[in-house]
Amino acid sequence: MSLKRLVAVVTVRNGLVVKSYGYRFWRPAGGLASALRELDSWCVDEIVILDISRKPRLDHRNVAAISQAMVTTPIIYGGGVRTESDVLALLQAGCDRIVLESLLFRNSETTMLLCERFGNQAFVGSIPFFGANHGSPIVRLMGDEDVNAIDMSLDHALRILQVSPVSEFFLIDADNEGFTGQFSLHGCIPKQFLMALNRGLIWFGGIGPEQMRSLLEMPQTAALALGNRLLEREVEYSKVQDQIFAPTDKTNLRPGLTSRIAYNAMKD
Amino acid sequence: MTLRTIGILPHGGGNIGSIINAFRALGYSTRVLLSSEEADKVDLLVVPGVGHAGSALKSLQEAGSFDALAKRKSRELPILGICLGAQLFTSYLEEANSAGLGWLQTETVRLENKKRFHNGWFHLDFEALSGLGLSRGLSPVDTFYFNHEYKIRSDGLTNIVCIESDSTTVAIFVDGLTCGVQFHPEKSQRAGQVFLRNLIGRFDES
Repeated sequence: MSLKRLVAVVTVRNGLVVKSYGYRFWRPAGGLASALRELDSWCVDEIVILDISRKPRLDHRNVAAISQAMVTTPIIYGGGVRTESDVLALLQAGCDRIVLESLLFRNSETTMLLCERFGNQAFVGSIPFFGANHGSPIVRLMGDEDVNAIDMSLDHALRILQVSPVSEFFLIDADNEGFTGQFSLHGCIPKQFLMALNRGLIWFGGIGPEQMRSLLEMPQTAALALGNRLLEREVEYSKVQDQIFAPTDKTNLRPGLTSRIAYNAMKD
Repeated sequence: MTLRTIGILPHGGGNIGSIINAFRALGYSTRVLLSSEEADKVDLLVVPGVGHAGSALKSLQEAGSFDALAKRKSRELPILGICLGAQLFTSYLEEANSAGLGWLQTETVRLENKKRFHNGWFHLDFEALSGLGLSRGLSPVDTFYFNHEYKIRSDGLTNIVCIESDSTTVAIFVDGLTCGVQFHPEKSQRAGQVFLRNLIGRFDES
């Protein structure tokens, strides 16, 4: 089994990095290329770029920024991906995997075609949950210029997700995204739902320090994703890793950068 | 021989941007080959990862790349296969239900683990890595980034390194000047860069 990951989420809107709050409010937070280079220098386990502009097309400003950043950290990109050309453009720019949300639920045929061209391992399915604060979440697909928003029960969503070929699922507490410590999903999604997904899970949306260890100890958890928190303070990532990482516990987290540096220094 | 130029053999997919970035960061001139005839004209040929085996095999066949690869191998010139690229060197690929190049007498089959995929970071069998002379500058704490649904079976193979926690999954194989890696050194941060430098050093010494 792979080591569990702490993933950095960079939210982008109209070509700029933003700090997002519940996908309803945004504050500008600089350029994408520089954000990627910073996260790369902290050796984060993975970077997820989420374009929340709600446009039904790939924003090539983001593609250019990824190309310019030239990082050696794995990059997953989501937002507006609709075609094989989109995927190719992202792979040529320096991305390694793609997040699918709209296609995953609305167009399973295209999802299959993409997986047959690029391999199932290249795709992560995004599941945006709303209503976790009330204890009864639904899946809500936001609309864009071309399509309306759709609300979906967990049962309906599961029927689609179980047969999708993607390699992991990105579970988003959309109401609490950006509000550190408010994450509520793990308490209200039925265990049967999670088990039926039968893939590794990446949790995201306001995860606080006191929630991280218990989420990481869940067997199905593959990764935790942190967003605004990593844009708020420098070197926060290393601190987060080192707070959680302990070789003898059950989190199975990838050793943090400072732990690795310390190990190498000890050996020398 | 001193490696100077790196060529990437396209197969319809491939995280080409990441590979170009990784080798350029090490100081090598790197480009995507426009035709299979160019396969002989670079010092190191890289067959990239990220793709579907069936789609990649079809694309390589149509481009005449199988012959180019066979010719390069027979001339004992350096070749590096990454992830899917490495799997193409095996004798059979379950994902495509098709024969591969057959350079490595083993099969590429579906992973058996519960989550069906390897997504993320693994430690390698460091002793085996040292045995191949590829561990300089690395330590057992270092991890490498994997992202695959199918694995190269290790049964009966020598000159290999496996994942530390799974001895049935090949992480690295070396056969003369041909090397295959299941992980993505271009996206394994510092450890990946050091590994690539070690590998190129090994090719240079040959």
